[in-house]
Amino acid sequence: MKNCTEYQQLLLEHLYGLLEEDQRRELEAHLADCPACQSAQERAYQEQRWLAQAACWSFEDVRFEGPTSVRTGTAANRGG
Amino acid sequence: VVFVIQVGYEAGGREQAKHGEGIRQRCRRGTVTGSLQPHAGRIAEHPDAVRRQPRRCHDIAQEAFLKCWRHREEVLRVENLRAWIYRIALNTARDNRRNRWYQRRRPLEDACDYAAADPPQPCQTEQQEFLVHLRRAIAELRKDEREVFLLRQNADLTYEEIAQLRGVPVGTVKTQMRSALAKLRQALQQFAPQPAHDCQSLKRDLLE
Repeated sequence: MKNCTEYQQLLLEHLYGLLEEDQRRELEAHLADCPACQSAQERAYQEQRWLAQAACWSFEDVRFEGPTSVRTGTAANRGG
Repeated sequence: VVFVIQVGYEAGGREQAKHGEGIRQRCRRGTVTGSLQPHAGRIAEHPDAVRRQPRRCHDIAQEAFLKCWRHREEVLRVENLRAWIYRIALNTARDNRRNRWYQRRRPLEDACDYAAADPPQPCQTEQQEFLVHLRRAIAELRKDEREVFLLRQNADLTYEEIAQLRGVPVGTVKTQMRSALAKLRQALQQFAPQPAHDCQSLKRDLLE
């Protein structure tokens, strides 16, 4: 049986699906009854959002388009 | 960033494929071929993107998509299209790193990219500064840790898919991910902004 600090150190790994099945069950059982760890879980969610934001910065507007020649060619094929 | 690339698995039909499975099913039916467009942004977020090298990242992404295009006939036979695309992107990034010509000019180019990617902001909030720290922490991860973290975070691949892509056991991938998260957690704890100091709070304080 772990204490709250130990459980809280597992929260981010839990959110990223890294815990083994028995670890996951034990953590979730503890979370159900522990307001302090529930609060820590909310922080872990926020941390995950920050990591997501940091990991994909500045490329939100990237767009790829097919080559003109290919689009023209396929349009011709459809027409033919 | 406006970026046009010579890629597209597109032949007809107005409908855009929502994901790889959709592309393949449509291909098999022979009615609509779809497009690689849904994967485009993710390719651009491949592990080198976070290293503040947008020019290099775009070069790699463009080259990766060209390879996808050249091998488009294989799409019909690919079981896991997303993993196939990522494998091409990763191999392209690795080839790029091995390129001696690139290695010679990298210091100057990186410096230019850094300056271009990160112009001084007139008003940097605490959150923005925090994100800069966090991005730096991601960039400073060991290469294998960074690659695994970004493939999981941005590409939403399973650990099994990542292991298959990288040709290593799943246990190794999970160990690398745990190590990455441990380092990033330190950065999170060290630099996380205090809620009372966010923009909205400041505005509220000023208004009150």
